[in-house]
Amino acid sequence: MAPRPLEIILARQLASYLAVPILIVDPELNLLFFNESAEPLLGLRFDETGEMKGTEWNDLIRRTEANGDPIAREHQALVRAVEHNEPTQRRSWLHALDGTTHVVDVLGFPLETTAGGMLGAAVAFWEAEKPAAVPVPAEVPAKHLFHSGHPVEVILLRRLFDRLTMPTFAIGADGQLLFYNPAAAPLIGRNFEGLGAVEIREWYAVLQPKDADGTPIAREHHPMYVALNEFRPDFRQFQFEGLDGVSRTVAGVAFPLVGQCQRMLGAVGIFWDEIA
Amino acid sequence: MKVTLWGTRGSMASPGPETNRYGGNTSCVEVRGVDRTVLVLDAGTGIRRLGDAIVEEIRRVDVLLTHLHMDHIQGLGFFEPFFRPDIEVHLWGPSSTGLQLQERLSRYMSPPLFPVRLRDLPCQLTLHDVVSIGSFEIGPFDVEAELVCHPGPTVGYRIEEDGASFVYLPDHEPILGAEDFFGDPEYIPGLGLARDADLLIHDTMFTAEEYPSHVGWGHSSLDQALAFARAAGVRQLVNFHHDPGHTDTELERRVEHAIASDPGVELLRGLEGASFTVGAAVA
Repeated sequence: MAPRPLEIILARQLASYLAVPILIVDPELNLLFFNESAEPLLGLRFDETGEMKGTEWNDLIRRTEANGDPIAREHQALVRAVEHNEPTQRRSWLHALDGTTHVVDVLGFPLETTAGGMLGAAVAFWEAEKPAAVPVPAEVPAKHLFHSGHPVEVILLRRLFDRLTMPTFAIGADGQLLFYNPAAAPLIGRNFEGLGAVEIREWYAVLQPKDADGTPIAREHHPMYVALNEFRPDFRQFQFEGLDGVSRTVAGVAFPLVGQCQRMLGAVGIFWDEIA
Repeated sequence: MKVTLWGTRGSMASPGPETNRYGGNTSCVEVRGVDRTVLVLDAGTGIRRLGDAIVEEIRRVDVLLTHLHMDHIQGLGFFEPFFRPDIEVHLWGPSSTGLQLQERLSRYMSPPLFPVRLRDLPCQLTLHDVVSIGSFEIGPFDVEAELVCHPGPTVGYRIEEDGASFVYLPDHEPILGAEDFFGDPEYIPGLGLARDADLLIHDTMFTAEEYPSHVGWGHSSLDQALAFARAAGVRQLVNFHHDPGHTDTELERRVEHAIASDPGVELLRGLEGASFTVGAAVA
C-alpha cells in the first residue's frame, strides 16, 4: 500500500479526534475517510466500509435539495472543492443508509498544499436544525499549567493547515488567537509570526468587520464569536480592513473546535477571498 | 517508585531465541509505589505474568491503558486479578468521540474474539475515561493523562510520587507533520507531559531508515525519541515498543551506537524484566 500524502494523514488523524463530522475524499472523489462523529449522520461505520470508490459511496449516501432532487454536480461541495478549488458552504438533505434524513449544513474545502498538490477535499457537516451540544471546558490540570502545550487536536490542526492554501484561523477556548496559517497572511496583511497574544475582542476592534453595505457587524454576530460562544457553526460574508490598510471582502465559516470527549478547545475559521 | 517492564514489544508478541533479551511480550509496565500501590500500564501479553506475580498480594489494582490497539489489550483476558471477586480492578483508558470506554473494550472482551464478556468478570470492576478526567490520584501517585499523536484515541501518562516523575509514551509519533522538535515547544504533542521527567519510556519502534516509509503509523525512531527527550529536558530515556522483526542483536547495536554518539540523555535499555527506580526506592 503506497503511503498517503502527509496532509491526508494529518487530516485523517485530526478528524478522528474531532467531534465535528468530517469526510475526506481524494481528487477523484473516492472516499478516503469519515470520522466517528459522522457515523450517526451517515448511518455507516468507517471500520466496516473502509475506503470506497466515488460511485459506490455516492450510491450509499444520497444527498439532495430540499425537494428531494439530486444536488446538481456543479453545486456539490466536494466537486466545487476538488474541480474548482473553491470552498463552498451550503445546505443539503442527507439520506443516510439507516433510512433517516438529516438536514445538514456543509462546508467543503480543497486540500491543496502550499507545494501545489491537489490532494482532494474535506467536508465538515453538522445538523442544521438541531440545537448545538454544549461541550465541556478542556481539563487543564492546575499544576501542569507551567509546562503544558496545546492539546493534540490544536497541534494537528496547525500542522495540517500550515501546509494548505486555505486561509484558516484558530482561537482557543479563552478567546486568544492561537494561530492563522501562512495562507491567511495575505488576507490579514501580516504574517502570524511576530504577532503577540491577541484576544478575539482586540482582534475584532482592529479589523472592524462590516457588512457589504458598510454596516458594522456586531461582535456577537461574527462567525468566530458565534462558534466560540454558541457552540455552533456560522457563515457570513463581510468586509474588513487588513493590517496593511487594504480593504477586502471575504466569506467565512467558523465552527467550534470540539475535541475528544466533547472538550471545548476553541473555534476554527476558514475564510476565502470573495473577490479573488 | 519502581518501574518494571513486563512487556516491551510492539504490534505483536514475538517470542524466540532472537528476542530473548529485549523480550517478546507486548506492552505492559508495572509501577510500584513506596506504599506498594500497584499501577499497571497497558495490558499487552506481558500482563499475564505480572498478574500471576501480584494476585495474592493486592486487593486493588489500577490498569491504565494508553489506547485499545490489540498489542496493548491482548493480555486483559489473562490477567488473574480479573477473576478474583475479592479484588478491586480499575480500568482507565480513552473513550472515542462516539463510544464510551466500556463499549470499546467490549468489542474485544466478548465472543467471538474472547469467550468471557467484560461485564461478566468476577472482580469488582470500575472503568474510567481518562480524557475527560485529565488528572487524578491513585494512592500515592498523581497521574496525568494527555492525548498524544497516534492513530485513534491514544493517551500518554505522567506519574509523580513525592516529586519524582515518570512518563509513559509507548506509541507516539510527535514528529508527524513537524519540521523539527525545536521550533515551538507548545506545538509538540506530549512535550508538556514529558517536561523534565526523571524517566521517560518512549516509542522507538523504527530505525531511522524505516521511518520514512512508515510516516503516519504512529511510531518513532530512536533518533526521534532522543530528540524529543532532549527537547523535554528528560533525564533518562528507555527505548520501548520494539518492532517484532528487530532482533536483540539489532536493537543492541542501535542502542550502543546511540550511547556512543553522546545523545545528551541517559539512554537505558528497554529489556523485558528490567526495573528502574525513580525517586525513593521501594522495599
